[in-house]
Amino acid sequence: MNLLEIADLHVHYGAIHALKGVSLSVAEGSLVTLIGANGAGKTTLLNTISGAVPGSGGSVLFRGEEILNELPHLITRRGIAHVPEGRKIFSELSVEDNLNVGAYIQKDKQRIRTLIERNYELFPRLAERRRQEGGSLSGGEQQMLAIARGLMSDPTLLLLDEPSLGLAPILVETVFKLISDINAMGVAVLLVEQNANVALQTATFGYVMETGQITIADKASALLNNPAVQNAYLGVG
Amino acid sequence: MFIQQLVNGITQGSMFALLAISFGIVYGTLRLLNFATGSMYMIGAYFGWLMVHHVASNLFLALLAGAAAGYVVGYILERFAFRALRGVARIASLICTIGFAMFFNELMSVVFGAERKAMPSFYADTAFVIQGVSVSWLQIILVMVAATVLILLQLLIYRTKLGLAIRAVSLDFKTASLMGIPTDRVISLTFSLAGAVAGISGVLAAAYYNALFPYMGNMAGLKSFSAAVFGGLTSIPGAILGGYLLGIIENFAVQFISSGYRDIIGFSILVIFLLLRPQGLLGRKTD
Repeated sequence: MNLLEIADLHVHYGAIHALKGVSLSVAEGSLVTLIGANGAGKTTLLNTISGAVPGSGGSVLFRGEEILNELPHLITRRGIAHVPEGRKIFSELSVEDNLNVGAYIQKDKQRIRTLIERNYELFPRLAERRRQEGGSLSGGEQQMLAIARGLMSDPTLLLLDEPSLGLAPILVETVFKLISDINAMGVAVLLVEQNANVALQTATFGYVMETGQITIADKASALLNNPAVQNAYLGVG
Repeated sequence: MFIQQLVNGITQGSMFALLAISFGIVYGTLRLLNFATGSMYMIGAYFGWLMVHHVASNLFLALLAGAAAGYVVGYILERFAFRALRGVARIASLICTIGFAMFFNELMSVVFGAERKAMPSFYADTAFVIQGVSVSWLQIILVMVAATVLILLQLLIYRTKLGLAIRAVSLDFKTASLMGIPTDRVISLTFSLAGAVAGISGVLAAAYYNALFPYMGNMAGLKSFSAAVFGGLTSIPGAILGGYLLGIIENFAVQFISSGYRDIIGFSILVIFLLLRPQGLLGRKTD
């Protein structure tokens, strides 16, 4: 049984049919990427998984249980952390308080401390800036904070939406290295990216989405060599 | 005379500060101006009075009754003026709070009568005299109760996990829900807390003026709204500062100009501040 199993998922925004029968799965501990052009429905898919957007048909199974249209905070409690597009950190809260908010579902103070320390090891920059307001961080630091905050709920599945957006190339490399490290700790990752090149190099499996449908699903290494993917998303050929 | 007006100003300022903070926590969390704040104050006063007349003639029990009544009214307002209108323009919620204010005022007037009710005097003995001005125990208790409530609120918001959740919801409730925060419950609780604070303020006012009536919340609500804007609507310390300053300035205006100008001063402050410093004394210049 896969950790996350999406079957024939439909989403409507009024008259707009944003997702038209999407099926996708993420195995325990795997790193799966979803690539596609702007407006293809990638963010909508993540928002539907985390409960922020209602689905109009199909199913989303997490550990075999239906979670479609459950309230977002209950989905978080099940072990899914969603790092939203545009980072969405709490700009007026300190870095450490951002992490504390991320740990809202944790009851044990000692556990929270351990998770914060683990984050500070992963992201030393955040440790240096723990007392600063989140809004005063640079774009790269904010992205790291958003990911670190997502890890505070100690998730089994991490949904990442465009972590490379607006980052300098050198930072993109750092962030993706961190994503690999997090995955190596046993956290399954569903990574949505427009930067297909680096996403496919990091992931083991990939899906391509076009106008609300999955058009190709294959191993990431195979997608890197797929002429159609190369033409449309990798700027090769 | 200076001392006299200062004492009066601080006493009235305490009630304004509590009401201003009630405005401030609702606005800060939901970006909604709750114009039924004055009604929560008035209903609090009536339940305090009911406690005094029918159960026990004790100011502190009356405060508890007022807080409980305000809490319930806040809950009702959140349910029907805010949650039921989610997804509609924010102005609809605002108008709904005005509608509720009228509804509650008329309801209380039908149930209890439109005339003034007398609240007995509590702790009217002089506590001390300073430069010929006598300060009663009631005035001291009133200031202490307000200070205690304000300090407890500060501690709740800045030192507890629930407070952190309230702050996160107020900054971005969608992202807060992704963090596992039950945003609906937090919003409801915030509204109820604002109601409890307004209810306490109402009981204090009834005890201070020895009177209560169904429309007592109208002027008090508008004035503390201007106090909240004066201090900075999104800033809790700002709302407290605004409340006390308004109380003190008003009383000095009465002393140096004329008692007929009392209300004009309060609203002049609102207008001048909106023109010169829309974010208020301590508010942030965001949004």
